[in-house]
Amino acid sequence: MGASWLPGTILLTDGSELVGQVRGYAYKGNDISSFRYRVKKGDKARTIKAMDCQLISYDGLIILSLPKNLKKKLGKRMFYVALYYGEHLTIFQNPKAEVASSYSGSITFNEGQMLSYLALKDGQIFKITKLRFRNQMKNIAYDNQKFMGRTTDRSWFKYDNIYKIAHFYNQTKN
Amino acid sequence: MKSIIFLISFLFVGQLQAQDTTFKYVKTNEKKALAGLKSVMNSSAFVLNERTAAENYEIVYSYIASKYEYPEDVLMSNTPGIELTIQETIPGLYTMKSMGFVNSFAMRYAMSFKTSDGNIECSIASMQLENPVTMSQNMEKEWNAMDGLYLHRKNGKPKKTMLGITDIKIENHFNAILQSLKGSN
Repeated sequence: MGASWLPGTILLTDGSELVGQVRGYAYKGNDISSFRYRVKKGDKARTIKAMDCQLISYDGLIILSLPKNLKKKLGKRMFYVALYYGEHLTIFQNPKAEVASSYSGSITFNEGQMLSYLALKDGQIFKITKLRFRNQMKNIAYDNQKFMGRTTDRSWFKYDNIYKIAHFYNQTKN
Repeated sequence: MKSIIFLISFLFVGQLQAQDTTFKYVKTNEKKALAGLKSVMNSSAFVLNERTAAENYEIVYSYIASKYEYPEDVLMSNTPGIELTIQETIPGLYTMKSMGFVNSFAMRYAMSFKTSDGNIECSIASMQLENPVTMSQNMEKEWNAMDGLYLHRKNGKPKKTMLGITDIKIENHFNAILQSLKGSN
């Protein structure tokens, strides 16, 4: 994500849309704390914080505004990057996710892979870990019969396939 | 009155006939440093037939269903009777030959099938080329946008590693899709 102005759309909390140019304004570690928005070059820019909006589409990314503490829906909010955005089920980055890494004397497959994701479905947020992926995913997607039927295919129903799995859920959910 | 209807139908048929019925790369004058002259493929082509929009939709859906056990895996959007959009990844579709060695890379694209009475409009969008070197933090392959092929050097001479190899393979792939849809008539 660059610091230059790029075309973007902001969906505000009241449902209205701002269409114009957007850029990440400030960073805290790797987290985006706010965005700047302007209609066009030369216009006065305004700051958009996570509390002000629901979603930002920018630089080919979809950034969601969700509670900082996932158990407290009404508390402070922060930005999360959606890795797969779907109508019913969305998968997004878990800022607190551990990353697969090797230490001296060991070999680690999939080094650098995030070991957990967050899933948004029906306004609820779920944590999906690599270790308990199949059970957690079945608990989330129990309401889709066609999806549940395919979970017996273990070569498909695996953590590394998470975006394709989420896509199949969205496509087959009525 | 009859003459007006005849004129309108003549113009309509003429317009349809002017549309492409195959995919083909054509050289442009656009130059890019180091890469050379750009060739672009028409973004859409028509399959002409005498079916209704609903029948054409069924033809497209049956084609996708015959190719994939779960069509939902590739379907990006689906408006029954009107339009279907798929995203496919084809391993080895982008091929170059150099010094007897063949280098192949996967390509990804979105293809829309707009079904109307008498035709299916097939449009290709967001063509991307696999970047085999980089991989994102999420262990996903990275893809680079590919809006054309550079089949000629800046001086206009053809690149022997690509011309007639890369373009033909891609054209054949998309034209085979059109043929499959035609064959379903």
